[in-house]
This record gives sequence, C-alpha cells and structure tokens, in this order.
Amino acid sequence: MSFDLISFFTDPVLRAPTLGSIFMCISSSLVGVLVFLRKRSLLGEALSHTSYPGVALAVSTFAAFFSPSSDGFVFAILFFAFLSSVLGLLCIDFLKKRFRVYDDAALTFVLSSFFGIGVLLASRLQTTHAVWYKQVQTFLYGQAATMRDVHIFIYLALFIFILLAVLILYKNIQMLIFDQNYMRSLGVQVRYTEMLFVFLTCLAVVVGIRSVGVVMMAGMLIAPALTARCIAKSLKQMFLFAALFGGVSGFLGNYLSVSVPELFPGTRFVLPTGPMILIIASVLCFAFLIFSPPNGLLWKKLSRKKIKSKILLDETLKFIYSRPGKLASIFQIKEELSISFLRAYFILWILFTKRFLMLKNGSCCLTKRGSKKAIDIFKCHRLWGLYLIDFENDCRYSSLYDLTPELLKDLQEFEHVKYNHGEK
Amino acid sequence: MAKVMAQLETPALSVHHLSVYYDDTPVLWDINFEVPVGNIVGIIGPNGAGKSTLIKSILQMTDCLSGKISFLGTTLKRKRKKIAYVPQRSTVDWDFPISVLEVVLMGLYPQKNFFSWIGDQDKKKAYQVLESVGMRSFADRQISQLSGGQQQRVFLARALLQDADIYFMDEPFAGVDIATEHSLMLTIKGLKEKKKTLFIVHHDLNTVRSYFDWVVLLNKGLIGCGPIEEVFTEENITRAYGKEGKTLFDVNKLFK
Amino acid sequence: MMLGLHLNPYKNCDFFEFFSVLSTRVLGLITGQIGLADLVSDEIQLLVLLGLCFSSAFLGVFLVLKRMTMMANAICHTILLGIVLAVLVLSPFFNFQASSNSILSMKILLMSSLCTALLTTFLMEFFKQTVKVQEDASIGIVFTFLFAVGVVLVTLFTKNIHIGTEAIMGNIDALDVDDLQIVLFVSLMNFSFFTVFYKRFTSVTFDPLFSSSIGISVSFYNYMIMVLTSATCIAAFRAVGVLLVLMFFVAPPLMSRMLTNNLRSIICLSFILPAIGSFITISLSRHFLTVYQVPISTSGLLVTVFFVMYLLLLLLSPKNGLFTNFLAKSLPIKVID
Repeated sequence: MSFDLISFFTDPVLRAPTLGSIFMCISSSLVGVLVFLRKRSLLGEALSHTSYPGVALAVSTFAAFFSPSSDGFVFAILFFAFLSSVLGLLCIDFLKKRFRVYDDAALTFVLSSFFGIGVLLASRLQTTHAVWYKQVQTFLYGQAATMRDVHIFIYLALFIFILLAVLILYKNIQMLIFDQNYMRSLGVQVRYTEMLFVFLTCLAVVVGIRSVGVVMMAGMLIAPALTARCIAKSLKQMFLFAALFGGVSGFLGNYLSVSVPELFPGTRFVLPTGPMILIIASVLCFAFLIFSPPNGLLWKKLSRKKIKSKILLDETLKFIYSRPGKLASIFQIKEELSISFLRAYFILWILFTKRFLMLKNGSCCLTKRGSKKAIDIFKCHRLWGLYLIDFENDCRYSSLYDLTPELLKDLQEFEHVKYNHGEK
Repeated sequence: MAKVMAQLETPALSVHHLSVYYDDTPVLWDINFEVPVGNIVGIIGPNGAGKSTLIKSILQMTDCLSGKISFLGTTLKRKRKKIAYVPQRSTVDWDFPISVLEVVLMGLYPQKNFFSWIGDQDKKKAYQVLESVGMRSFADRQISQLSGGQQQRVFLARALLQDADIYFMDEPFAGVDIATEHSLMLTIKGLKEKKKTLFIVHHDLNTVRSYFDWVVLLNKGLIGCGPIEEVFTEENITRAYGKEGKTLFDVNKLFK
Repeated sequence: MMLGLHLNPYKNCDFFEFFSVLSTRVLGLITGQIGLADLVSDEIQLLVLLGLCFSSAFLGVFLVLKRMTMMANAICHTILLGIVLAVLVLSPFFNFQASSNSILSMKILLMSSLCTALLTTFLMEFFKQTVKVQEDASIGIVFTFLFAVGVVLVTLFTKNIHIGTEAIMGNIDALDVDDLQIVLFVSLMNFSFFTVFYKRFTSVTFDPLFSSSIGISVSFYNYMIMVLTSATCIAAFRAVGVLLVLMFFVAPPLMSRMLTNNLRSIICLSFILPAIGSFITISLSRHFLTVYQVPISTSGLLVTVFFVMYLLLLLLSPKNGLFTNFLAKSLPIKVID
C-alpha cells in the first residue's frame, strides 16, 4: 500500500498526526522566533521538562474521572502541563532575581527538579494505574501517531491563538526585541509584552509535547528560527520563513515515518514520528547554516580564503618591489610573509604565469608589468587605509577589492587635497 | 603616516603588516610600527577603532589575516612568560568565589607547573605586591565586594607579580575613580623606571599627554605611532576622531 | 556468616529504624564481621549515590561557575545516543545485553560515552565558534538532533522505546557490586583530574582571557570537563538515569553557595550536602515501602529531596535566606553583618 500526498490530509488515520503536527510545528516556530531573538532558546528546553509533573499530576488526579481515550482528558493534561510549566518559569525568574543565580544554573536546576518530581509522581502511577502510566510516558518522546481528530482542533485553536497574538502585538514584539529603551520611553508596557512572550512560550511548548515529546521540544523552537535566520532580512521574513520551515518539517516528518518503512516490506520496522520531525528540522537547519548564500559557512570560508590569497599576492609584489634591485628569493619571501615554502612557491608560480615576475640570477625579479602592478597595489592599499580611517561612516565596502574605480578616484582627490592643505 | 625610525637596540614590540578581519569586515588594516624598550605607550582611537583587537591579535588570541609580530626580537612563544596581559574588567566573572589574594597569586601560574603548590614564599611575594598597590588589607576579601577601582588595583597587582618585561592593559582606567587612576599611574611609571614597556588602551584624550611617552593612534588603520610631541597633534586627532576630537583637543588646550 | 544476600535487614524498617540498622551494619563492616559480598541492595544503592556525590562535587561546582550546566544537560541527552550505539554496534561482537553486569561491557560503555562527549562538545563548539551561531541555539540544536537520532536508532533496532526510558530514570533496584566499581573508578578519576588541574580550572573559569594570554588553552579544559561529565553520567545512568544526574551537578553547588563564599568550602559542602540527601532518600524510600506499601522511584525521590533541601536553604540560610531576612527586618535590634 503506498500513500500519496493527499491521503495524508484525508485518511482518517493519517490526518490527525499530520495536521496536528503541522499546526504544532508552525506554532512552535513562531514562538521560537521570539525566543531565539531574545537569546533565550534554552527556555524551551527548561519549560518542556517542567511541564512533565503537570502531565503526571493530571493523569493521577483525573484517572478516576475520565477514561484514557476521552477528549476531556486531553484538555486536562494540556491544562495541567501549562500550569506546571508556568510555575517552573516563575521559579526560574525568582531564583534569578532574588538570589542572583546564574541563568543557565537556574534553568537546569528547575528543569531537573521539576522533571524529577514528575518522575516521582509517575512512578507512583506505575504501580497503581499501569495503563495511565503508559499515557504519561507518551509525553516523554511524543507519540504523534496516536493523535485523534480532537487533537487537530485543539492544535488548530492554539495555532490561531498564537498567530493572532503575534499579529496583533507585532509592533510591541518588534520594539521589545530591538529597542527596549525606546519602548519604555513611549510608555508602552514592557512588562506585559514580556509576560506575553513567556505565556506564548509555555503554550507552544505544551502544544508540542504530545507530538515530539518533552525531551525534544526545545529543538522545534530553535531549528526553524535558526534556519530562517540564515535567509531572512526582516522580522516579518523571520516569522514567515520559520513558519514555512516548521510546517514543512512537520509534514515531512510524518510523511517519511510512514513511507520509509513502506520501502522495506516484510520487515516490521517503524520510525517514530516525533524524532523524525525533529531530525528533518535540524537537517534543514544545518544545510542552510552551511550552504545558504550570503551567510553560510561555506561561502564565508571561501570568500575569506579568496581575500587571504589575494592579499598574499599583493604583499609579495610589494615586498619584491621594495627590495634593492626589485629582486628576491623564495626564501626571503617565505620569511617575510611567514608562510610555508609550498605556499610561497604556489604564489610565485601564479605571479610568473601572469608575467609579473621573471627569473634573474636564480631569484625572482619584477617585470615592467610587475613593477607597474606593484605601484598600483601600493596606491590601492594606501587609499584603502585612507578609506578605512577617514570614510568610517561609509560602510558600503568591506573589501578593498570591492572598491569601484570612481571611489578610488574620489579617494585620490581627497588625499591630494589633504596633503596640499597639510603642506601649508 | 609617521614611520618609526629603527632604534639601535631591539624594539620591545614590532608589528609588520598586521591585518585583522572579522568575517568580511576589516577591523585592522596594514598596521606597521615598532616601539623601543622602556616606554609607556598609549593606544588611542575612537570606538570601534580596533584597539582591543590590536592587543588580542598581537597576543594571538584572535585570528589575523596577515601579520608578523616580534617581542624583543623573538616570537610570542619564547617570550610568553615575560609578557603580562590585563584584560578589560568586564570580561571577568566578579561573582566568582575567590579572594583577592588568590587572584593575585594567579600571577605566579606561568611559572608553576601542575604539581607545584603555592607556598609561603609565594604568598609573601603576593602580600608585598598588594602592599604596593594599597590593597594589603583586602587580601582575604571576596572580589565581589570590591569597587571598580579596587578591582583594577588587584588586576595590576597580579600583573606585577608576573614580573614581565612587556605589559598590555586594556582600558585599565574605565570606571575607576580619579584617586585610584593616579595611584595606578604612579605604579605604572615606577615600572617604566625598571625598563619595562607598557601598552595601555586608553580612552580619555585629556590625560594622554601626562600619562604616556609614546602613542599609537588608530582608527582601523594606523594614523601614527611615535613620541607624543610628534604624533599626538591636532591634525592627527581630527583625523582619528573627526570634529569631536578637535573640540576635545581645544578644550584641553584651554586648561593648559 | 550472615545471609545478607537473601535476607534484607532493612525489610520492614521505617525511616528511623533504617538508620539504627545501618549503624549496626557499618560497625559490623568496620570490625570485619560483615564482608563486602554481604552488602544488601539498600547499602549498595547508598554507596553508589555517595560515590556519585563525590564524583560530582568538583565537577558540579565548576560546571556551575563556568556556566556550562546547559552543556552538561546536552551531554546527558546525547549520552543516550552513545549508549545505544555502543549496545547496537558492539553487541554482536561481544555478546552482551544492555543490562549485563560484566566489567567489559561497562568499559565499552565508557568508551562510547567518551566518544559522544567529544562529538557533542565538538559540534557545539563548531556551531558557536565557526558558524557563529548564538550559544544557546547551538547547544539546543546539537543535543536535540543527536538525541532524536538516538531515539530513532533505538526504535529501529529494538522496537522498544522504553530502553530509553530506563536510561532516563535509571533502575536503582537493579544495582549490584559491579556498578560500585564503575562509580568508584569515576570518582577517583574526577578527584585526581580536578586536584591536579585545580589551579588551571580556577584560572580558566575566573579569567579566560588572562589564562589564554599565559598560554593555557581554555578549550582544552572545556573538553576535559565535558569528558568527565559524560563519564559521570555513565556511572550514574543505572542508578539515577542520565537526566536526573543533572541534579547532582547543579543542586549541590547552588546549595553550598547559600552557605559560604570560599571555593574550597563550596566544594566540600557540595559533597556533604548531597550525601546527607542520599541517606535521607534511601531511608525514605525504604520507609514508603514498609509503611505505605508503595514502591516509588528512588531517583525521583532523590531529586525531590535535593529540591526540598535547597528550598529550606533559600528560606533559612544565615546569609541571605528569605525567612532570616524577614526575621532580621522585624527584630528591633539591627544585625550587623
């Protein structure tokens, strides 16, 4: 039996996990952007663990009233998880403000103690209500596959709530992230917006733990936001891209966890949905971090290498020019530039092929072309130095190799004027 | 650009073609200078000029694109034990549970290997050095209880204990009261008597003339390096700081 | 000769009886009447916990001071991947199961933990320094990704996600003397590393710039701490589980900081306070079993005990406690510090 894409949205077994996951992922991506830009990404990790005792408590308390598959039960669990996570947050803030505990220590302490308390409560359940215990365990790693239609509606509602919150308070959010002081000066309530951030984070975490689980929730907050950071140029774009990447991960996670096992018929092999969603989100993130054009690691390294080698070529020419007789041996060059023999050899080879150098008495000598180039380089470097010092407010050019001929002319004029004035 | 005349003896520090880029942004470009032994050198420049970066790249704590540095004629590796670095106060965790004496004793770590413990002789030396900066009575105090000026004195004491030949200090007078600033400067001048060379990143143009013998004027590129009278001129300052610099300079002249 | 293996002298003890039986047993141990082979499960659990307290004393203090507790949290998660890989990759060669007690398997697990520690730290540093991702995000994305991979592998090969659960929460009742050996080994290792490199660790934590200026590699000591953390996690995973060992790292230094400002005292207290907590936990666990007939998770109980201890310190600490401050304010006499 093979699944086509549409069936993921219509098939009664598949649609709940798929749609539920997508809504969950988009919610957590939006909130993730907020948390990421405030540099509090690990708050998601702490809050997801602190929600665990809430889950255990809900199950222990309501075990008597609801049956495991009732819809009211879902609400009860989510509600208690939310309360527990808010309580955890209050503890973290309290420790940081009143006792000046370091941020990471407060997070880890609260995370670990609440989780331990949750484990304690859950263990009690293990003996008294074994079936309920299993319910609680599904929240550790998530179990998207067993979501039902009621979950779709809950997640849709939560998603709409988060989306509305972000849209309505967009201006506040923008100010809070980029310029708190300005916000204060306008009299806008900074505290309320902060509380909203926190509220939304707790909400998103609680929404997500059913599908990806307590342990991995943090990743769903961070990965889409980080991926969006690579290509977004404004806050609005951050939200849009994060939501896109989140939604795609949610869908693909479900898709792959169902279709990959299909490729191996006969073996009963299963891919858990929650972790798959996370893996896809992370892989997307890594790919963008390394390969995306302006800021990707690969691009930066390549451009740095390019600049470095160009500078070395220039420096070599300058050095040879400054030697008596415009003559230098490879060893002198190696010494002056502090580079390896191989590198020096390679540089000289390039200069030879460009006919800037020629052999003379066993050493390298500048040709006429080479001399001219060296003089140009001296001029260019000097003007670049001038540009950096005197045109400091002009940040258009970060590399001297980007300088346009017009700007070079301007700089020359400037230098001329300056030195004429100086000579007075 | 004033080029330094080669001295007859080995310069304390010589820097050739130092360029530092952070990703794609140039922070320092083609810095060349040499400073002779026994001078107090001010590293001056506006914000973002690359002053801290200069020290960090000289001490190989940051990657540089190109550059050749030598200390008293040799490489950093060979001279490491004779070089002291006092970082900016903001880079340290002042909440750390450590006493003043223990911080100062860190100055002896370069000479200690893993198995040698701090002995009484070492503590005696530490007390002496604390005495010389006026912090002897604070020896057992927790550093979290110190004021800005007191913290800086402790840092200087640690550097003194290192007994180095070259000292690098990053904004030692930031957030420090005038009295401490003067007394620190006295100690620094005392070091100069002992033929030590000091490089100090400084932000207050008004005190440059009284504190330093030489100055390195920076703004991403080197504007000048040499004795105060030659380099610390109105023209150079305007180049570095723009018009505000000129105003500062004029105000300074009024007070002369 | 006592039939210690079959008859647990702590059976039917409540909280206080536990301590009296314990003291008699300790006396017996000292006078030679009771041998090591006669230790019962309660005592083994206690010893393992004490060993963990000792291992984490130095380690926890430096993790907190270096603000690396979240990275320790990351290791706690990724170590699961290491354990899983070790079990899956190496079991065909060595014929052992995850719950076997041979020292050989423990050594393999230790090796795999070393590898995961190095991998995790390398990736976190890579994202932070080379790719220039902000620190919190680089930690978060690395460990959640590696953990997700671990969970997928576990489900793929064992179809049983609950191996992971046991690793998270531990199974303290299945401990025996061999586990003691690993805890002892890790304690000694931590103690020696931290004593030998004490000056370096202090200097690197307090002033990393100064340290690198005198030629100390800050990065090397970071890696060392991470390796020791993962070794301690491995020693702990059967006792309290990997996520709860985090409490051993974080809670004692926070507790000690409420009481003193001297680094050496903080380290000593970071052993003594959790040791007290361990005694209380084991006897409470026995108490619940005896009096209420309810078996509860000892690891969860341990975390709760530590939490309560910290809460008490927050309230009553002579330096800065909430309650002590309240008292000081309402007293007519001014208390001078």
